[in-house]
Amino acid sequence: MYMDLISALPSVLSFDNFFAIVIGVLSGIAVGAMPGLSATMAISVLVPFTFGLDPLVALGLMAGIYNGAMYGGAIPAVLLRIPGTPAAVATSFDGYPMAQSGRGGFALQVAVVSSAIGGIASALALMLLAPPLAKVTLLFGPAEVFWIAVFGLCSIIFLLGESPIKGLISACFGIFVSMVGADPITSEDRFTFGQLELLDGINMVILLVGLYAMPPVIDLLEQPLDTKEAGKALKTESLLRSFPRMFHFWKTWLRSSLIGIWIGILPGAGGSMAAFMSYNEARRASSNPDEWGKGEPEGVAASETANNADTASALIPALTLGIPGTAVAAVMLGGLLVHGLQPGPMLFRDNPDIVFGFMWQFLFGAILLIFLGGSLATNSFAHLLKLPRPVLGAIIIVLMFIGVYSINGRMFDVYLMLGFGLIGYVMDKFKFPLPPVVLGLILGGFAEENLRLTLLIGQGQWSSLFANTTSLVLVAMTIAVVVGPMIKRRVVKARKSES
Amino acid sequence: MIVIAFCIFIASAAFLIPALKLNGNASLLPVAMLVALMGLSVILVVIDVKKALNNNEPHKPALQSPSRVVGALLSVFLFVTCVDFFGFYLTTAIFVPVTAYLFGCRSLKVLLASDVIVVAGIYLIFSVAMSKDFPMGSIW
Amino acid sequence: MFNYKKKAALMSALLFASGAALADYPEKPITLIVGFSAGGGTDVMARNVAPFVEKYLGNDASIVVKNMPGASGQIGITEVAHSDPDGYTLGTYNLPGMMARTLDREAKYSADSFTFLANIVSDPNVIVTSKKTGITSVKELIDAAQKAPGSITVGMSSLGGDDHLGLTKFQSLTDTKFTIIPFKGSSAARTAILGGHVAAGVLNVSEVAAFKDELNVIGVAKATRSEFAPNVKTFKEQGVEFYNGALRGFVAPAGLPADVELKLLEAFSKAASDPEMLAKMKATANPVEASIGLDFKNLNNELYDLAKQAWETTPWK
Repeated sequence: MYMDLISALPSVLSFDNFFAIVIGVLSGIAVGAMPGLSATMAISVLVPFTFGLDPLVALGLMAGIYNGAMYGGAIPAVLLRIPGTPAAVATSFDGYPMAQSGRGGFALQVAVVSSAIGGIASALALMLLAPPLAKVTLLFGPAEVFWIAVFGLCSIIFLLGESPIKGLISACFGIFVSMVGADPITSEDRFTFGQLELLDGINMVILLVGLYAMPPVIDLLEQPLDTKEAGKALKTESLLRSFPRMFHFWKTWLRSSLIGIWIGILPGAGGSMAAFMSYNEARRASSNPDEWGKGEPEGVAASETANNADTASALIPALTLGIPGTAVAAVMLGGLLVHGLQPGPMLFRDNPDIVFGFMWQFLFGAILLIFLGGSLATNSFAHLLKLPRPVLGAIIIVLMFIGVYSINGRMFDVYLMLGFGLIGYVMDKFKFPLPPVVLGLILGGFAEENLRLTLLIGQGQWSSLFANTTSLVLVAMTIAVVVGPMIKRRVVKARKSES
Repeated sequence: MIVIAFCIFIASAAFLIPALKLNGNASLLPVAMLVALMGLSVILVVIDVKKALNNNEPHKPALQSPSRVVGALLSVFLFVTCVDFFGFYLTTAIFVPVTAYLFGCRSLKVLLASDVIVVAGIYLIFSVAMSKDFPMGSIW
Repeated sequence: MFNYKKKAALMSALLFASGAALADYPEKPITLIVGFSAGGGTDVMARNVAPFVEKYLGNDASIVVKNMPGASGQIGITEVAHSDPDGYTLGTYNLPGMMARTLDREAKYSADSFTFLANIVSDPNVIVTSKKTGITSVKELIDAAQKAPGSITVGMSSLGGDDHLGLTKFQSLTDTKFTIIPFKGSSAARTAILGGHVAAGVLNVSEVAAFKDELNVIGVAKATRSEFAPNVKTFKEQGVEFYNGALRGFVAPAGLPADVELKLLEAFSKAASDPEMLAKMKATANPVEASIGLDFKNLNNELYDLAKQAWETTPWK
């Protein structure tokens, strides 16, 4: 197998194929940076075109876009507090405060280096460990996946913000939104009120654009002209100079890469969950957790490493088992299918050149990110920020429309987004935290579906949730994550009162 | 805040009616979430009332200039409805400079340049390169 | 920065530029509505067949594929049913899904809303079992199910789909009872079977062709063996007259002008036997079994009756 890997290298390095990766990364960054346009959308737009392309060129474009978009989402998240993609929500926690205190340039550099590191780690995992990691995926049946969703939902606790009650309301709202649409098991309509458009549930991007883009846009238009702020927003220095200041993130890079890879190989969750979980883990491990959320570069590093680390690894189950780890991987499978590449164990035997070439392309895409994402992309966006605030606001409104409309090409989604926008604006003004809504939407439906499947398989016995070791380990982990910090806090308090 | 909590309570209660009609396990989680939302909004009110009784902080207005906020929200809604009726490109071409002008950008040069760049850019990227269709407008 | 994207997409867009027609039908591009997103099984079929239909329509015909995903194809097919019957709007059509939706949901169309053009793909059902169960033949499966009714869990892609209706048929043919586990999509179901989380599953032969060694494929629900799994015995060979599968084809709105309909039927029937298209379909795992025009319509009615019977005896929601 490793011989196949090496023999696939030369064709990847041919001009056409390499050029495709470069174009892919650049357009990926642009797509990710526009609120509402996500990697999933960009790649699904690309799929019909790939019928006429050489498979490696098509796949190179896709790999590049995937890597690029995962970083691109960080740019508006840092500069405007509008996550460009769902996976960049956690990046905005610390990225935006950094930009406000004039360190936006450094935040973006941390983001691009971390993204590249996550992407490289993920590509290596795909190249070297795909078959054994695929076996891990098989261990996770509905019961186990349910517990992973619960584990993820528990991390909401750390996102609750100042008022836990408001945080919980946000979370419940998010979970409730995930229930809209056809029931996952019986496909009975729930809260669709006869609208076919709601049957497939509410698309993540619609909610994200509404909740996250509307409040900043209104703020842009609300405040009178202020050109001073925009000027100082981005101070860029050479990456070579700032890189040494990032070395001490190595532990976070390592941890977040592993989390990202792990989430990637599990079907269904995807980049946003990886970013949230790795942000939480990094914060728990940090020596000064109170600084987090106020502009801690390590938070940006954690989130960005993880959301890139799940890119290539999401393809491990996709290529070997045909189950995509993320929505993007699902669309990519379509791109493979177009070229007659059927996922499954045979794929590696029948088409080694293409499969291993594809893996190399992921690696090169991640490496190219540093060169293409660093100065070039950042500087173009610095110019955008110099635009007068009302103009910027108006442009973002147009982009919001494009992003949401392009998902399915229907106005219904746009009106839905407006509704969420209104809710988001009110929530923002009354200090209801938004991240729990996003996490609730991602994991709520996921948890419900797998819970119901488990109960069906176990003939309605709730004990089937605890029937095997993997489940029990996950339950123990969840309890440790929830109870651990409480005990820690109590111990710290006790010590303080002693002294 | 009490108003918000009240709204949450009413909305949850309203959704509870269709939720209770669902069969078996399909209603399990939705009902749980809605009941939780109702419970939490009650707690929110209690906490808020308690806080209001304990300290008499001067009330800070949530918005700096309500008229501009309402204007901004209106402009977003207006944009979307106009796209639906008059078509995407026409609306965008008018919307971008007008909104920017109304909200404080008075430089004609910037307005014109941004308008042209935005409309042309979107046309080239989305319509030409990605062959995406946008609404043409329902009145013609 | 925008330039790069533009270039990349332009490059590919150029490859698809096609000319407009002048004489007779078709004089302008034909829109083909696909009710699923790009890259899905139905989409791949549509995009592979479309160029050959263009070829046999002549007149420099051009077919533009438009994806209208949502509600498992229902949004797209509703759009087709309500568009002008002028031959410039066609749609992909899935069976038994499209007919089952008229039973289990309020649908704004019925079998009479369409002109049935051609069914191209017929993907027979297979029943597979997990290696862990040790069940390798239909007989063993029936025995195990009869010994303890409901003890065998059977994964499938959804309720009301071809696999579900197929299993209902199998149950009544063999007097057995299984526990139905509807996953979200067939690949999720297949993975759960691979991992042994469910004992068996109803899938389609194209979906298991790449996993023959990892699963026990115990039978194909087809009259003759499938070219995708030639070593797998049919149910008939094992004594059960069980035939079922997923069909994917093309329809137009009802009330097409007769000459347009004739021209389309002719083009589809020629395209369906074009060796180049057959090769393409094989490479993308689409088992071709064409039925044109009236044959397709009869097939539709047959499957509608089956779905109706299943819905009336064991409604799934």
